[in-house]
Amino acid sequence: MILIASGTRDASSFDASLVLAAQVEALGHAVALDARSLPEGVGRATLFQAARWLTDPDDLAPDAILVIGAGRVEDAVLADLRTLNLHAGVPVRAFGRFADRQAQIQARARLSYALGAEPEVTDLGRADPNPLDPAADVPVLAVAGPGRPAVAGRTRVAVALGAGELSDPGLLAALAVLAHQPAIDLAIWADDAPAGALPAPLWRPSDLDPLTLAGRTDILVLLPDAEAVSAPLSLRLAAAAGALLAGGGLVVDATPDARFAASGAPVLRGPAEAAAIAPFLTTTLLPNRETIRARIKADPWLAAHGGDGLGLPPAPSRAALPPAPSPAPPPAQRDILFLPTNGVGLGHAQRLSRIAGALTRPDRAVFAAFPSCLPMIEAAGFPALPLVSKSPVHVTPFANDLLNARRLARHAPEGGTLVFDGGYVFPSIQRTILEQRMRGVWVRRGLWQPHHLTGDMAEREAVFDRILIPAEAFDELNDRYSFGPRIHPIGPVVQEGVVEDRASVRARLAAATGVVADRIVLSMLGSGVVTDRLAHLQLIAALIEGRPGWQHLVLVWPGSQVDPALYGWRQTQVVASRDALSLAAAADVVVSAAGYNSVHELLYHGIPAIFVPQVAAVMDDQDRRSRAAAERGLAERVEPRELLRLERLVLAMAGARGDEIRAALAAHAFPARGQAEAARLIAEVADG
Amino acid sequence: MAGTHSRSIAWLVDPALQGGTSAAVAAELQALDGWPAQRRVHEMRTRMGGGRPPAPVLADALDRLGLPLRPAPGTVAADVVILHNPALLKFEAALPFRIVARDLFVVLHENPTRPGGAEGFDLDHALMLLERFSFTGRRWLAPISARNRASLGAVPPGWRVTAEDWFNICDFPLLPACAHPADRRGRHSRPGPEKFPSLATLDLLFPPTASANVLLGADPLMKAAEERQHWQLHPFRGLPLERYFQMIDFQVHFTAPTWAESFGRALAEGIAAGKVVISDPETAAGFAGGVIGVRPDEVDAVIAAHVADPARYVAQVARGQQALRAFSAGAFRDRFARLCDPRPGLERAA
Repeated sequence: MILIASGTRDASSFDASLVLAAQVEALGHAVALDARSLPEGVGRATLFQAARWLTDPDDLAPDAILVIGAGRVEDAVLADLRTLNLHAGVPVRAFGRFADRQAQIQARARLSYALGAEPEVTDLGRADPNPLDPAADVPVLAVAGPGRPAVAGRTRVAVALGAGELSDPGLLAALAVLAHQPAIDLAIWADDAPAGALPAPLWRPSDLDPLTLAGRTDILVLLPDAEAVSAPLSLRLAAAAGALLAGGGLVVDATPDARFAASGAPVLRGPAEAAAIAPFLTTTLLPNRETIRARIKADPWLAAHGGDGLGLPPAPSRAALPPAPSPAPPPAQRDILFLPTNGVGLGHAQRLSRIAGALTRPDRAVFAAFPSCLPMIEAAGFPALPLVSKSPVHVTPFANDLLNARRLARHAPEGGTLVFDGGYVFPSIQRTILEQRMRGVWVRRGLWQPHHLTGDMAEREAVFDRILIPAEAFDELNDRYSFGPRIHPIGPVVQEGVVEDRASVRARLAAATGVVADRIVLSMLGSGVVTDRLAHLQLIAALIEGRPGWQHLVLVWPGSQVDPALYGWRQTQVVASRDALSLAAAADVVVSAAGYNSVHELLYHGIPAIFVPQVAAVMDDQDRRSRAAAERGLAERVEPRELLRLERLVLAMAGARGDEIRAALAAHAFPARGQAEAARLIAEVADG
Repeated sequence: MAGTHSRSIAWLVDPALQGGTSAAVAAELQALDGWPAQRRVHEMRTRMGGGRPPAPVLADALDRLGLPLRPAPGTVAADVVILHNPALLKFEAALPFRIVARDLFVVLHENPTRPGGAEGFDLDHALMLLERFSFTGRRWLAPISARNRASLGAVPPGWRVTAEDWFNICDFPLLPACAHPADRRGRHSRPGPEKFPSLATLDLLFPPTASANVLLGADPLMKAAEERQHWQLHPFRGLPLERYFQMIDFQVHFTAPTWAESFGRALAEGIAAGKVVISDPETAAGFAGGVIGVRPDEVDAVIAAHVADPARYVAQVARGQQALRAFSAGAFRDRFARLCDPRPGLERAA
């Protein structure tokens, strides 16, 4: 274990620790950061990056210590170092910039008093007079992390920008030109939130490990002038450039002051005019790429910055590790991780389980899911890793996602494929894909409300290799939110057939409820988390109560909370089931919310329904979806406030109106189901 | 008296320096009261002193002796110029005066190198400054102890090393040893981090089995929350020394292993107060048997042996107080006379 300590407790120094930690880890060492060194008030991105290395003081047993910022070591840091109780002979290397020799002598002495061991102190100003980042208080190295190879015939180009540069229309136009070059996959590295649509995926270099970013890049073009980058960002760009050079990539310095080229690193001087970058790449650089790479590989700068200067003990060899004690044969290779978010209902999990079931080899699928989804997923025959749900009692709003990120880092199949279904791409998902070098697929149903379109789509999509858009049944609902070769519309993902036939379900219901009914009304209006539908349920219950031969079933998910008021009716029963479709097919009238799965399953299975759309900021646009079905005569729709109309429709749907809709549904040509196509597209990604 | 050849003596002092240096200068001025030479004390403010008020021990001595603290003139001229502790020049880029002297003595105080050989401070820089800003017949480096002398290493060109140590004067009142010592331990020093060994070593030195563990000047431990229920931690100057010595029978003095006392004034104070003093063997060697030198894991046994045998305790204190006589004011005056003798042949044999 290599302990990395920073001389000061500020966010910038801690950020430098994270960069060095990534580099030392890439050199094959286990890395630790003392948990006490985490500065107060650091942001979410910093916590996500640091979590893998933060170690409680009692668990610190370093084989070597690296101290950065040694020119200004705070007393609190020395106090923490004092508690380490080092074994004899543990090497300590300190790096800093010193005003004079006395400052260096003093820094060494202070560290030695705290550690009880003599550190070897390096004055960075002398050891590396022209580093890639002149202000860095840490060695600026050229260390490559594990990367992901490019798709054959494609070149991944990243353009790094400084603060505010995304608002330059000329630059955006130049990026658009670059994005449209054949055989180039462009990415933009910028910390700014884009004001509008970007021509390429956006990565925030301050939020992500520079080695990981570099591992997904073949050519990095550095544009920002010195004033446009903060000190931490400057170091991260330098580390990314170093990683790229060490990994066989190319770095183009197109900064106005040519400061990266001035370091002596084998970077190419590029045009300072953004508009000239595309022709420079396509006519100058790419045709000569292999020659340039060969020269970079032979450049002594690389060897001088490869990490030997850290003076670390040899990294433990993987081959030297003892063999695993268990002689058990390896489990089946489950290399496709399906991860549904937990929305208001279980729609995301249902959709993914259907797609996973459509894989040619479903035994490749494994799930990670929130507890509410687990029984349904396991019932579908897939193993599932539990994730931690958000809770108001957590210390931060994202504590669960931080824990999930660590859990996924341990269990996600490295180099496999992560398939996500949801609207908001959690940091844990993005980081799992990046850090486990996975491929990413986003199953993203549409029909978003206008306020969901916040303009950061380029950032949300960046981590995914492919984005599958399950279609709505009605074409006017298929809005396009982004474009490009990664976007793949697929047919609606809808269950094939019912699990249990109508007669069997009705017989079991009669046995279970003690009511033999010839008219069944099924309500599936949601869990009540987002919108309270108790009034609607009570109204239907009152309507049914006393009508001979009628029965009202309220469908809830197993484990849901049920309002006790629903238990006061003789002809209304609460049914907990995961097989909503079989129940719906057995009913005469269905009153349902208008979520994607409910609407499509009812329509595709020819079941007449009254849709009561849920209207909430977090939901998809259920109003448009239900309206489209009703306007075609394929369903009835009532506004949530139209209670008397709902009452009338329930009675009508039990009679002739229900027959009319059933006939219309039977006659309607719906788009073909999309799960098989989705499974094929996912397998294609997974197979590279 | 050989020293009468020196008709004028000037001290260059940063009065803001707290701790051993100011105490040593104060004791030296007191010891040389009445010395047959014109004596002047010049103020030399340095960045290391930080412009703090004069150390009380030095201010009191100057008051008592009627010696004004004069600002250093453009040229400090005297037969003998004495500068205590060159480490105080480590942050200076230049001196605001010039020194003209027959003999310039630079009294080392701090060890130029630490155990293991790492530099303790940038002595070369300090000496270079003095060379640039002085016109002298002879430039002397004056170690204050054998250990301080050993840490000097090679003598810089143009400098000589005094044959005898410019020791700290330990003219403390000698108190008798107690007749029935108990396992009551303590340590005191200024609160520098170098003054403390690791927590694991401190646990060996001040165990729960002792009836008292009094740690004076324990500010670094208090800041780092390195505390034990069986320790009494007091900040620097948080107890009068007299009170502190009433609370202990054994002074146990170990430092960070990467630092060493150059003289060990705190140890001398313990001996004078009638205590058995225990330290590491290298530090103990400077006190001619007056300090018991052992490893930290041997401290318990040493204390147990002396508690069980009060006569042995008394004998050890007597041995220590006898050793202190070598550091008396009278001994210093004799040595000073020899050191300031203008005749050649006083430097250390090469």
